[in-house]
Amino acid sequence: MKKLIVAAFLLTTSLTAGATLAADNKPQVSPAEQAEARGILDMARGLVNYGEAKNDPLALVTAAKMYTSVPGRVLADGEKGSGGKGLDVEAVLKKAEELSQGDELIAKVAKDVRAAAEAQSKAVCWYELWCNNYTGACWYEYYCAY
Amino acid sequence: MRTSRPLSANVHVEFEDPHMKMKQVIVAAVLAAASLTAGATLAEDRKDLTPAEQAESRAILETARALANYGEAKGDPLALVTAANMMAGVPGRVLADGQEGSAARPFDYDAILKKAEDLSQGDRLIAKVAAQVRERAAANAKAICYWRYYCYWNGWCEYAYYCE
Repeated sequence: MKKLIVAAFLLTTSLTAGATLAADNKPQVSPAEQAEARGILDMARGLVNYGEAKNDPLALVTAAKMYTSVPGRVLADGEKGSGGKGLDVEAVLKKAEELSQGDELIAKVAKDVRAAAEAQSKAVCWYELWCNNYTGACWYEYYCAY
Repeated sequence: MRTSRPLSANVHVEFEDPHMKMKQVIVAAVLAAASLTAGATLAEDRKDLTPAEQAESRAILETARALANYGEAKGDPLALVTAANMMAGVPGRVLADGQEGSAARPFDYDAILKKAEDLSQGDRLIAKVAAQVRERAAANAKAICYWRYYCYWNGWCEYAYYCE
């Protein structure tokens, strides 16, 4: 059964990987790394939704850390290209800090994430969120500018 | 909790290539499996949560499971304690994989928290959160309702909620 799940996952990721390569951009990370990063970004998105809904600062800073852990910038929804506006990690961190009311762990992680986000903002590669109108399926695609 | 994503606002392009056709089939299959398994769960359950609350808890447990896998793979103690905290936050006990019934072995929060503590090399902030999660999980351990992780012949897995 597990094999079936893994097979379905690999099929899905290989399809989206194909779409990325077809877009005629030169990836600086391997398809496997891209697929992994996509999974992380999807999970981070879910975690932000959970953190906002449940007022959970721990989930929010964990999500922000995940966003900054992938190679390249992550663009905000609807943004495109190397000049596109980056995802507002700062807003996620501020929300977490507000909710935590001065909790040391949250403050420490937020500081680390801000440093990582600063480095990431200079990247020439980025992730755009793409959604299909009919199926509702969304995924991240990786692009690089040269 | 919002588990779905805004669709129309994020649409950039509509694909008509064979890859997207395949994707549509996969998504349709997943949705069909989900609706079938949800039906099976409702037929068996004795519920003290509404279907919406059950669906929300299922989504939280799935996300937490994925986050725990991520934390283990990346050696990230923050992800591990966050995952444990999420699992301990759902109403009812969460059983270990393959366990059944109210007397079954619960999910091993301590293993995941110990892993986080080991990875953090004594970070007192991680230890503090781990202690809070242990308290939360201990309170849940007394519940008479529980979450079983269920896998079906078609490879589809989900959490199902039971009360005794």
